Amino acid sequence: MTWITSLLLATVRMAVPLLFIALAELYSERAGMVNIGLEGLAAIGSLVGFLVCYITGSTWLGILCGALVGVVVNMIYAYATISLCADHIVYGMAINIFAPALASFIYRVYFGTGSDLKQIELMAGIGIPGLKNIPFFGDLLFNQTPMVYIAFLLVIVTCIFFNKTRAGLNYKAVGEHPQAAATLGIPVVRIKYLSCVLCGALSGIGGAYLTTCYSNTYSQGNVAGRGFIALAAVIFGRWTGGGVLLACLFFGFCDALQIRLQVGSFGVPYQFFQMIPYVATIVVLSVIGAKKGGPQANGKPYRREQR
Amino acid sequence: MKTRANVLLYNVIAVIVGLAISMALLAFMHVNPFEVCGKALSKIITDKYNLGEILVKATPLIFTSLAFAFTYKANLFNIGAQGQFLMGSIVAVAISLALQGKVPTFVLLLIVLVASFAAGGAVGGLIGAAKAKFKANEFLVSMMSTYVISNFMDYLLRTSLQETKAEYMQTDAIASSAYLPNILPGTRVHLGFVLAVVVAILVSVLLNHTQLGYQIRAVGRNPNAANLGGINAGLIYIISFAIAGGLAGLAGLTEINGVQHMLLREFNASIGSYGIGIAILANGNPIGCIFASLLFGFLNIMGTTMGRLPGMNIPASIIELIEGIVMICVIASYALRYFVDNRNKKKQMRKAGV
Repeated sequence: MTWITSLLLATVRMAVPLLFIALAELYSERAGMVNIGLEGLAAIGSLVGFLVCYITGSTWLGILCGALVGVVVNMIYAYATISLCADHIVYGMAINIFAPALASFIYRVYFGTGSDLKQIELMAGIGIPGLKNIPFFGDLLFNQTPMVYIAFLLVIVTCIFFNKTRAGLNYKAVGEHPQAAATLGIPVVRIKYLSCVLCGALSGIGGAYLTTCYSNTYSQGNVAGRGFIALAAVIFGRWTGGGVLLACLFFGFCDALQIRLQVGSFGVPYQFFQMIPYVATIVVLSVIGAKKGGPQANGKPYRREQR
Repeated sequence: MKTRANVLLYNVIAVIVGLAISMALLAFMHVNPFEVCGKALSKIITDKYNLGEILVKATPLIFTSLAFAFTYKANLFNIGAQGQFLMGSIVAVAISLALQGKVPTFVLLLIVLVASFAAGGAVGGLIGAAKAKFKANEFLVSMMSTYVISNFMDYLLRTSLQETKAEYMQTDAIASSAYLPNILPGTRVHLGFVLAVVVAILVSVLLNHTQLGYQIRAVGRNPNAANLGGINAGLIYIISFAIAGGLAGLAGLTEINGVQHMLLREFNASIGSYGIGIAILANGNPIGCIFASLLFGFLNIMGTTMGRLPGMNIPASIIELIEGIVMICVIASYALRYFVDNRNKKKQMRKAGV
């Protein structure tokens, strides 16, 4: 029982950073922006989150600054792809190379080349009175860090926004058929920029979560492919808030399982367990790949005068 | 021809702008950028060994950038060159250790050449097959395969391939009879560099002057139309991915038998992502990849030299940053050129209309 409880607890904890990053991509792709630079955005977010927290001692300020730097870096992508109509994938790749390099550069410049480990205080968990005493589910869902609650709330907000509000439908129209949206008076370019702001902020938060709520140190490559797994989660979740949540829980579960199995030592080398999340992603992509889906104008440049 | 010169001009300007921004960053670190660059540059130019290192560093980058550029022509994104390279390295070191001393050097190197190409090609082929058979997103699958392979390599380094001392996670060093021959005395430049250049030219010929190359480009433009024209798009996906993987695998040969002479953890951890940057810099042109790789090789040496300058305290990782900035500038220049061309065209049309 305790083994399973701790496994599920870890699942939630591993799913949350993925959820932030995957929601970032969801907001981006719903406006037709395929941003594959999530890995880089999360990397710089995690560094800045760590650094600000290290200097000020405030995890909240760290997360806020992580979000801000995510937005700033993502504006490079936004300007190039929206205003200059550059290729989304190529530019996302550039962000993936540039942003982690910037992150490790800032770390080295600030802390020097010394090898002593810099640590910060992790964000404390807050139990929700009453609910946290429910057996089993109490610890799992109602005795976590505030960031976990925020992530789940965000899923609900996202679902309502995209399905029940006029603004959400307008937003989706930009991803489906920007020219048609423009004739209806929807400010296409402005919404595309807005999507990049949301995407940058959420992936920055996802990265900052890794250093302020999950592991209390920063190490190069700590995002460890989560940006790419989040991309797969959006495809797996069929571009809906609820689907993305389930997909992230699934990938979070794979990650948690992997760590638990390593500790358990079953005579199988741990390297094979470490492969689990990545193999799961490949399998999922192969299984669901055949179905068509996603916003129609995803990844296509929008030029106003073009039909 | 005029447009080609135009492209080159934009590229050169973008690289210069990127370097200028990077130098401004150095100033940010309270050092005089001109002094630092001048010192580093003079250290490189006056030392034959350092000059050679540029070619040494460029060699694997040519292969990994070709690995990205090749599928890029089929409108596919192979961002898993790192994994394909590691697979090539594993096979290269395993064969070298098994056969060294038993067969002549030439034969051994030939076997390793074929085997590392095949190893990388097998990985690439599987990714292409996932794309062709299941319509899986090749870009994510190739990235994920890199993580799987690097874990697999760690496993091998712990078990069957681990050094006889069984102390560190690394293999035994291969015997000097399995080395790629040195071609420039006084440096570490090895035959692999020549191989890389020859392969790049072959790739260029393959893409531009053969039936297969035509089919690859046709599928890249429009897979449906290519299908109607009798080209099996799925097969082209598999073939182009297999060749791309093989190209990355060849970097395993040059790095194991040419430079490192053993396999260890975190082996050349970033040449895969550099390869992508280089290929984009070269706009997918195989010959361009050679020059862009040389530029990155130069930047790489520049970075390590700067890092070693006494009293400056510059982290060697500055180089990754410079490369990132240069890349962003170059891609921006492509987009900008398109933007300017478009505006000029519109102006002309307006004139013609009046």
